[in-house]
Amino acid sequence: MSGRLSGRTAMVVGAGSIGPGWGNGKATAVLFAREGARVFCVDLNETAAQETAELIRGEGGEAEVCQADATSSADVERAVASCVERFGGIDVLDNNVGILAFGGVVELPEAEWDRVFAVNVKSCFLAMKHAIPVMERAGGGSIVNISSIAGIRCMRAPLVGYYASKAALNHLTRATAVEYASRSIRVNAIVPGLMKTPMVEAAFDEFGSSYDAGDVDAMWRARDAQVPMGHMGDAWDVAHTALFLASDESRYVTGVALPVDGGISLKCA
Amino acid sequence: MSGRLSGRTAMVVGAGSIGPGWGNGKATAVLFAREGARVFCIDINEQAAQETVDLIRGEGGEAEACCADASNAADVERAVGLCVERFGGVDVLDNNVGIAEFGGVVDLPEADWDRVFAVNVKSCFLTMKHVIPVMLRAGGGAIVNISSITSIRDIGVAFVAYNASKAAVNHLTRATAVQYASQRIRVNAVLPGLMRTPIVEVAFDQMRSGYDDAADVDAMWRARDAQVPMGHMGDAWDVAHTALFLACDESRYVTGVALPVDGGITLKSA
Repeated sequence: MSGRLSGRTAMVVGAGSIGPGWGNGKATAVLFAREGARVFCVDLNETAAQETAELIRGEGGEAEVCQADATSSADVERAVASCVERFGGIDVLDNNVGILAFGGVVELPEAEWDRVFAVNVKSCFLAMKHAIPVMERAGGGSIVNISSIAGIRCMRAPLVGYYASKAALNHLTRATAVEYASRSIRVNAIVPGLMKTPMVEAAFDEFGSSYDAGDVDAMWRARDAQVPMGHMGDAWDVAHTALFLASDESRYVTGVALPVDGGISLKCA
Repeated sequence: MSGRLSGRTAMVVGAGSIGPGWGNGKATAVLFAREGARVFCIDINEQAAQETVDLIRGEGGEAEACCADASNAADVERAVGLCVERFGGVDVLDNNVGIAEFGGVVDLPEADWDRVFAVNVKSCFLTMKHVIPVMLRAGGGAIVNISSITSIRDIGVAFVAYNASKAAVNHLTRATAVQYASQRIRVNAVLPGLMRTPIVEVAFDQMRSGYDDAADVDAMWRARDAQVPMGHMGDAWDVAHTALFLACDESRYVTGVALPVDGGITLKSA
């Protein structure tokens, strides 16, 4: 183990996976642990968080589980306090929660709009609100917010709530990066492209039609073909980038929105 | 050693440092070697390249020096041929050469404009032209071009040729990234912000000779620190670690990005 995070505590919000396989949060939690971090695994679904923690412990790492709704201020405050109580602090915060909401401004119900903004942006606001004071007391930290190329480009499916919420997350990242730069807290965003992750598979019913795909495999093939590299990315691509941004190797990097997208954001249609 | 580049050959163009201390190319070459790469160190100044090679060998690494002008097609072709002959291929190409000439469009002599574009952009064109066929034969590779935040922001100094040439590096990077994405060659750019590296030290020393009072130059350093949200300039290791991320397989799905390493300075308007 090279230990690029050894001695550090990482709170991964959305550390469970919505389905079988590797979601971004799960892969990131496991990779952080492999690099020596103690990982505090927060998820709305306790069983999912538990699965990630058991994987980490099975590899000899240290992890703790916490059930919490990342959109609830009380839950987030409690989760941060539990992490501090258990591990003594928070050096790295990795925000992974996110949901899709299909529809343009006319079709999308207001309640769905509110929910997608709560889960995709307010979760980061709340996690940072409570984690930053802890980081400040310790002299610094690193925050990684998982955004999406949907925050900088429009994809095939109408997803206005998702698009706008991810754009908000990018600029929340920049604004918080500037505010805390002089206090040794770095804040960066990762902008994943078309990924092959459990969340996308779970959304096949909605996504499938925008790809004119009869089954999941047809959707995967159509998505592969959209990317200059010729294939979707996976959770490990996001995890390795999160590791770079979380570790001291990126100590002079703050406020960036880093695409991990096989080149798709470089192209017009 | 974690060996994130073990078994790889890296060609670092501009691997020497213009003055004492750590330039981006020198730090990158040494870091790549520490991660297990064989490093082919190219510089127009053979002594500077040799110094980097000696550092790498002193740490038990493998390196070779090569004197070449990165803006000269024949030199670049020869250098790539030597690297392949010596190490069997080129898995990573790191382009570090760059110069700045002071002046806006009215003041800057045409010859200076041409020279800046030759050194800053054409060097990347030529090295990629000759290295990419080698990478294609081996099934892929990673290219890192060192650009600058001056490619996307004005930093208050009239460096039109430098700024425009670095913007050209960014888009050359993107265009080449798209073209070779499906052939497993990734091309990315690093955009350093205000750095304290030997090339800047040399420029400041030249300015120092114009001052009676050396304290004025120290005030310039402090002013540079104060411009950055983080409160300080970056150094060559910041660029080197980012180049390492982009050179190794951890960034296998990252291509065509222009990644600022700038302590947050590009986030702010004046």
